[in-house]
Amino acid sequence: MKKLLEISLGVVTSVGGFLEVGSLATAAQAGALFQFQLVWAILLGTICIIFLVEMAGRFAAVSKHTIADGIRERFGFNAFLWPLVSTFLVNFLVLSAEIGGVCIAAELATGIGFQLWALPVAFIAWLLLWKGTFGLIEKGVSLLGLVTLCFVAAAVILKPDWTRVAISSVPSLPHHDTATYWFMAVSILGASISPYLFMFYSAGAIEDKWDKTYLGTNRAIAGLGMSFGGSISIGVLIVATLVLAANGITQVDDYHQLPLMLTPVFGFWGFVLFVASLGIACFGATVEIALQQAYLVAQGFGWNWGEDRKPRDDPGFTMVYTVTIFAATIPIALGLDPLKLTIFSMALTAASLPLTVAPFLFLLNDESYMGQHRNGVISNTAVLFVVALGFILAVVTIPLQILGGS
Amino acid sequence: MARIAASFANTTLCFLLGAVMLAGLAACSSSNAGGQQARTAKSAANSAIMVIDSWTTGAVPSHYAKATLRSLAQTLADFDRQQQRADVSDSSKQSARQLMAAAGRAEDAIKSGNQALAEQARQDFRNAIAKLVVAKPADQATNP
Amino acid sequence: MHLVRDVLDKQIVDRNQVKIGKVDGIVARLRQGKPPRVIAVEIGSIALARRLGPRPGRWVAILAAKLGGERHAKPHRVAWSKARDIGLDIEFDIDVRKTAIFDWQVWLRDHIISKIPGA
Repeated sequence: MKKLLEISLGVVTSVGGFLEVGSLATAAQAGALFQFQLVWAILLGTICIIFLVEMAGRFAAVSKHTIADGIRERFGFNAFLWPLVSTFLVNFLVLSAEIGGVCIAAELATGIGFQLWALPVAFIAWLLLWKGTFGLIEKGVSLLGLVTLCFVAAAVILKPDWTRVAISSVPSLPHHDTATYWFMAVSILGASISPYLFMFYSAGAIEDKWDKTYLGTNRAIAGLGMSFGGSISIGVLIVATLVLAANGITQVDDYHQLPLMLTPVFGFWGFVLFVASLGIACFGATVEIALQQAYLVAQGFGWNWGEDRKPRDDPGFTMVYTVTIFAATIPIALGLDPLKLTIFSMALTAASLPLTVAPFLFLLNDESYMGQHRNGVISNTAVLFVVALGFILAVVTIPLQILGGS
Repeated sequence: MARIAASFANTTLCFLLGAVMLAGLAACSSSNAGGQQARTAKSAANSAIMVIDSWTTGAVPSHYAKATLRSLAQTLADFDRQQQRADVSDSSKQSARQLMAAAGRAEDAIKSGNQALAEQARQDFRNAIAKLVVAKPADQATNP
Repeated sequence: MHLVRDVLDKQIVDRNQVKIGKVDGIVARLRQGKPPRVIAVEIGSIALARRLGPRPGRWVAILAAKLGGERHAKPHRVAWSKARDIGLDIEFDIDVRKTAIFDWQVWLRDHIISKIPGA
């Protein structure tokens, strides 16, 4: 019974925490320009993240190490430096983009420019990390994030041709703007397969003190949580298709255009729901990514860490998230366009996937860590696929950015 | 050690694959800069129409409508600048001008709360968009 | 015992189960015709920097000495004889508060973290 409750809570928090500025922006752009055609990219990304999250959770529950910890221990410091630096840098950009997302939501709500919101938003996020516990952050903020389900509601209300949506779940070639199409596909994959997601999940499993009895729970949460979360992204794409594209808006390159997705469906409440969704979703992501940066450094270097501890007990850990959050406000405070930053950081995330996902192949098959719970054929195939996909994305991203990016 | 060698081989293979893909993409992608600009303008203009509609029904606050139209007006002003210098037909240049004028009218309407002026701006947008040269299928408003 | 696999980069805890750091380096005495004898483990930035190369090691050592004084010019060493239990972590029979390993964290705590309310 307790496990059922845990599964439900885990699924709900995964759903609430799924959407963030990257998945929102990429889905909106894709729906506007290519209608339903890129649904397959969201599906593919979601399936990949399901496998990776399940593996991250299983690794933590069985080996009692987080992924970051495991990479350092298994591969040694020199090899660990590659995923550490690349993940840290990519996370920094994504963190900046998420802060930008909250600031845009604040600007849309109040009319006060997004630049001025950068520091206040960072401060509130920092305060939550300073005073809050892991449980409060994981559950509290994610539960609020359920407001993003309004996109699913809107998609259903708009009565799409579900047959056409279903057909689009299979990859197809574009009829126009080929480079842009593939660039969007890459960005969508980067938005779905964010390393901070599965690394945070493994840290969370340790914070929540999971053990081998949680393996079934882990599978359920990973599978159901990420699936439902992915459906929200698809909801955004459908809404963008039926509202933006249908009204002749094929290019979304101005964040002001985004609320227009929901106003025809819900009227003034559409505006409110959009602002709330964007703000809460991005705020949750901000807190999680900042925390993940601290986990990455602390676990990699063997410091004391833990969100439930008082800051004086883990000063190194605390300093990392503090410095990271306030440093990430700089691009936004300087006025860098949050939408452009988002799309760019999603593409970069896709490019850095090989470095963060390749270790899974080794860690999850290592008997000394996993015992009898090593990867089966299916899981290994999935990881190999993601690594191969990651390599291709890494090579193709930059040329595509030049050819097809905005 | 063998692992490192394997991953190097992997990397090389993928670089080759990527190069092939890149060549293919370069071949297929039609870099139609003019079409791209028309699409930007059309999207901006249609966005402006949606903003006006939302504002008149009270679905969006005035500060949002104002800020959005300001941003869209800037996009249309850039488009107009490009069109005036480009080698396009006179009617294209005229459409660009009309779009910019419509944006200005819409901004004034929202600032003064004048619904009738907003409706007029909306109509101006519609007329100008209709005259905008449609170069690619992507520009057509489709009803999926 | 496989030194690289089972000792290097493993988490170290002290007798009070406080996480000290990871095994950033191993000090061993080479012997003729016999496997090397582990004398101590090294912890800290200097040991880590040395693994990247002799020059990074020197730079970090100079920096550490400038910031922390002579006591920090060399990497922190814990004698291998003090190793008590090797499982998930390696437990050493020392009290980290009596070593210089946490000096930088203590400095952070006293000079920055404590100054902020709610720490």
